[in-house]
Amino acid sequence: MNPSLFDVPDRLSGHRSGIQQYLDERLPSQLVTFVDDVRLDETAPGRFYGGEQVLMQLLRSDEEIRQRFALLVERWETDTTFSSATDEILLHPDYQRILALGIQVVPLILEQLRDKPRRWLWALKVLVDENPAERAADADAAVDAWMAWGRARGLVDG
Amino acid sequence: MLAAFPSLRRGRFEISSRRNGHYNCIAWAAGIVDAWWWPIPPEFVEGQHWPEGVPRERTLASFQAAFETLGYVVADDHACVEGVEKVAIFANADGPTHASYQLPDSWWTSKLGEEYDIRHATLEDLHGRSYGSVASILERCDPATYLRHPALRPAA
Repeated sequence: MNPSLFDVPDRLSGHRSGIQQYLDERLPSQLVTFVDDVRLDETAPGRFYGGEQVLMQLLRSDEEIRQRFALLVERWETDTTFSSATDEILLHPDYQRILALGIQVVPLILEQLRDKPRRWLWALKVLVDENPAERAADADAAVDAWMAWGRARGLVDG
Repeated sequence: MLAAFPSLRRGRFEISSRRNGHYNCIAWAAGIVDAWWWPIPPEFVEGQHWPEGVPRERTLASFQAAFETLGYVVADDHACVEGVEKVAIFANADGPTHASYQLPDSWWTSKLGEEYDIRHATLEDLHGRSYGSVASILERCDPATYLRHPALRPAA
């Protein structure tokens, strides 16, 4: 099944309440038909390949997402900070819940990337379905590549 | 830390490094401080080192084989012997969890996940829910490597 595609008009791009209204008016009956392929369409700002999860997340406020993210990160780090087992760290239920929050957590992850790169590089690759750090020689280079990617999209400062 | 390793409450230990997320316990036991050693397939997540030719599976045999690439062999016990390096592999029901390296004074050094290294008096200090217990001891008797472990270098 191919990803369903929908466009958000340019005038609404970046305005969450406008996007919500737009979706409420046009898409409620289609929610269950979307697949779970979640990624931005780089060639067309404001366009998403979306799944049901993306639509659900668009309806949450930035503050709700930030609070939920902080709670999940705290629990996840408490459980795994002394672990070397990469599989345990990445398959931890709270890490999976962070991924389930969708693309809106990407700026929050970029804020933490420099401090704990190994914990976040995989999440970024999964969430945005691309890997600007693919040719990075080490974790530091991978962080640099992702931060440049985030700056180019206005997701991180500086 | 004491919540994760309750046995340390009655043991003797000291934190011996700053926090560093660039290497983990397996790498540290192997004497490596610039890589994260874990047998996860590269197609799943990048940046995880595992010795060439050793199966990338979370089994005791795989972890033993990883250290065998460095000249270690399975040992009978963890008694401290001059000239002999020893590594302890911990495991729980999920498989291997941790490795410690024995220092010449019979204490052990362990890197705790992405946190810091500690020196601890006994292997039992780390027994518990987090790491399980010691599953295997390996040893290496090689003048070229003895006393060369980074834990023995003077602090910068």
